[in-house]
Amino acid sequence: MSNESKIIGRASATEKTPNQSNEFSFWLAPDVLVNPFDIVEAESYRGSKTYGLVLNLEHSTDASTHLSNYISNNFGEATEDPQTPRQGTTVAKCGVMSNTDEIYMPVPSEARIRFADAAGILKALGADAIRDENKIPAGLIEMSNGTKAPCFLDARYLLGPEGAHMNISGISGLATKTSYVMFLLTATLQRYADADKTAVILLNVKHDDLLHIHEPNDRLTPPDLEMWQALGLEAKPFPAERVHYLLPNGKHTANTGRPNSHATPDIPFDIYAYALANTKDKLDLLLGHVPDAWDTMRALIGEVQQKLEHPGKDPNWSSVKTWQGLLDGPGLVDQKENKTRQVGEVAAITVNRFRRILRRIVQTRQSGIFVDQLSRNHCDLGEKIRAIKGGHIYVVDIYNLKDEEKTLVFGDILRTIYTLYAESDVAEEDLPKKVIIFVDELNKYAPEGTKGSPILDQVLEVAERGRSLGIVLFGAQQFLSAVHDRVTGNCSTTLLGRTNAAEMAERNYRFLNPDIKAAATRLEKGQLILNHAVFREPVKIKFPHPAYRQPA
Amino acid sequence: MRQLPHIFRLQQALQVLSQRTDVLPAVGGATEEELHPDIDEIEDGKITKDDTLLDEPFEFGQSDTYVPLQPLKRTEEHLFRYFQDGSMRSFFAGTALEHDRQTPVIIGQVGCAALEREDNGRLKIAVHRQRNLLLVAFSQISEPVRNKLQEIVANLGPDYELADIEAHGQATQDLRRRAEDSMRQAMILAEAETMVAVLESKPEGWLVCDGSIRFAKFFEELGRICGTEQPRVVSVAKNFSKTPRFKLGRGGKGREVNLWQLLADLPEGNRTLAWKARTRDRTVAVWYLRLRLRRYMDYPLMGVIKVELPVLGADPPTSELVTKLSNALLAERTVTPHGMDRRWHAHLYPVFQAERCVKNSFVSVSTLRAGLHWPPAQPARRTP
Repeated sequence: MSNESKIIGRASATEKTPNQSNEFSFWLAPDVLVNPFDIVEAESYRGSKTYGLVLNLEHSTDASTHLSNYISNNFGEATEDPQTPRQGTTVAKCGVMSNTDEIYMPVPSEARIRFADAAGILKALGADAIRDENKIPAGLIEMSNGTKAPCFLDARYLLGPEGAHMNISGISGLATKTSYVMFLLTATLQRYADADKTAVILLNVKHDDLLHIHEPNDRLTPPDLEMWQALGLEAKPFPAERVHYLLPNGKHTANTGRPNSHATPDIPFDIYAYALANTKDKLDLLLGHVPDAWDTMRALIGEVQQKLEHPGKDPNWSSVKTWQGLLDGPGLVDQKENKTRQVGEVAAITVNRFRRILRRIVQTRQSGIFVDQLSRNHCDLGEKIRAIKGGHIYVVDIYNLKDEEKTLVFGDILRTIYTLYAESDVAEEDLPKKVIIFVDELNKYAPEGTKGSPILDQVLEVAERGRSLGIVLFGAQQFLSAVHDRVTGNCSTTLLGRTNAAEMAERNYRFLNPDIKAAATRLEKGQLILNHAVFREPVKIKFPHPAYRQPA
Repeated sequence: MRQLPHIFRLQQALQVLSQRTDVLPAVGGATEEELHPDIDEIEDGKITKDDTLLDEPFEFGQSDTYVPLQPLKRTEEHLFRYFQDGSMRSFFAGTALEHDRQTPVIIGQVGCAALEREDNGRLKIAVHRQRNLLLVAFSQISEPVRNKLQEIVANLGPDYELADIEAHGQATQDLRRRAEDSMRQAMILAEAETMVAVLESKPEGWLVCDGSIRFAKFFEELGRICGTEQPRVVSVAKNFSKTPRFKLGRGGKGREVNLWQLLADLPEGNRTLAWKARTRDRTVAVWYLRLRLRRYMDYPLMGVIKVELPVLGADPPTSELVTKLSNALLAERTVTPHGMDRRWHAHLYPVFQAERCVKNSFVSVSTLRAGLHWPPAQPARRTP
């Protein structure tokens, strides 16, 4: 079929720009329109086809200098049209993606070039080898000639065990990153063979963006619906009976019953809070941001955790049950002299610092998430996560939380899941096979250039060992370069939305061809560059608007 | 498109020369023969040597020395649709020796292409002729060798030719230089064939030929095709003879000027009066046209072209026709091959492309060396 398609040009090898095993050029026939990211096929040796990704296009004429063009227009006569247009041609530079017979001889000059058809596109990407049960629709490839082909990810590389994790970056404000992740999660839960054994945890970081994922999107346009259909997916929201909203306690929740969220879902939800009892083993997460050059704070946190775990061993700690009790109780403060105590080997001055910082976090500047005791209306987030079920989606709202609180919640989730899979004695059959955790602004938790913070350690654990355990991290952020290398380096799937040129100059983008980098600076809303472990070259994809209600 | 003949097929002829004569191969393999730098002007001088005084205005309708023009764009009226130019390239392969006679062995390629310009301005090849030549001095090789060469070359087909170096040029000239004249004759032949092919196959549109049109072969063919009608062809020369003088005005008020004087006052976008010029019985109307602004040119004659219009009947062309042709030629000033050809100021871009098309089809000296070579020397078999 592809052989019948129109020839759009011929391969061109010259002395200065020879065709090579990994790239080739072709000139375009007049009136043919080609764009970067189009996939073309070139006739090659022994009847094989070499597929190429158009990286860049250049138009040149036989004018040796701009001066020649000026002179050619009767010395700058700007209004006079040339009687004979100057000889010129547009040449497309292509990166070789694959050859149908594994022949990587350079494409011969004069080889006929055609647009690849839908099957050819998959072959070019290497996606034709993905088994049906592992195919997860990732978006639509649209070419200049109107050919559309669904693009598939290999679940073995997205969710393990061959590879795992996905990272998406791009400037904010285009509503692309979160929308795409939600689209990909929808696709995963609709098409992945083990979808019923896959749980999803989402962190809502903006307004109520993810607090309506069980409601249908009434604003989907016919082109959106067509795209959903072309991808073999149903444009429907996440099933309400499988969506669990976990919303934070607020300062006024006790009176109003309303959580500290931008909006409240119209289905039952849980309100989570942190009392000392369910936070004592996470104090390191809460204070992870505190500079601690001599490890004194970490030592103190260890001491405090020990005391809280075994209050019977020290009478001063037996009465410490609440945040207030911890901050001002006999554990840390000599009640008679009203002075801060030394705790273990840690001097009083560090204990004072601990109290000062902790007081600010859990009392003076807290959002309401810290309570003295969990009430009947409160749930323990860790417990909820431990009861995770396959095929269910857990949305944890952290939008209104302070930064330290967000870190605590995210760290709590990661630590709970990691412990559940790596260390717990919970029977394997009771756990979902895979857990996908999606967090936006990943750079806040795993920033580039830092080391030794508890939350970073937790993220790195998941990034480096989650693949084999079935824990998959979907991360998003504006700038890929702002995220720790060991996190991004472990992602088998990377997506780029529109990114500014300064960011593209960072070393994290070295894996991209310079022409693709340039193209990334002019991507439109809803367009992404996708690089997947099984793909031979990154491709540009489009995806439909989410099928769940998005607040205006 | 017709497959062009391949020069490598002349290898068989080299084989014969190698077997039947003693050959001194060119040092380092075949070398490209240099063309004379001002060959166009020299050629024009030869063909117009009788034009010492152009004193007969040869257009009907006006008599002014200078006529202002307005570019006639193809979007208004697409007059010139075909543009042709010929070119040649030759290589000195070695010297063939028989007793005390010797001849250079020259391998040459001549060709001519006519490009067609479509209404949107795009160029495409309309006609392309190419011929491969083997040139030796017939008087310097024995008859059996010549006969064998002729037999072999004849078998290769009509696009191959065994040519006598001494058929053209002057006896006093060096044989390698005379070979250039023979090549030029072959090129003129290819140009005439191309012109005929265009005029016979394309019912509309005028043809612009590069150089002079006053060769006998051209007029012979034009006469055959057009009778006494006006042929749809003009020739344009970038370099031209500076020797003719011109008579301006009539009767007692008339005065003679040389070419420099004539063109010194020719403003940009103007043409001169057309004069009658003849080479033997071949009559043309000849005039000059300034394409470019003088103030940008280094030299007064830069940016000026010489136009020849063949006239087959007795009557001169109308001034209307001469002006219309000039208007259309003036429009050809955009674009130019500036930076690619030192004659850009007087070169018409489509003609330049036709020349390029021909030259691009010639093999380079490195390709020629790789594909055509003298067979290894073999000891001559002598009968006792």
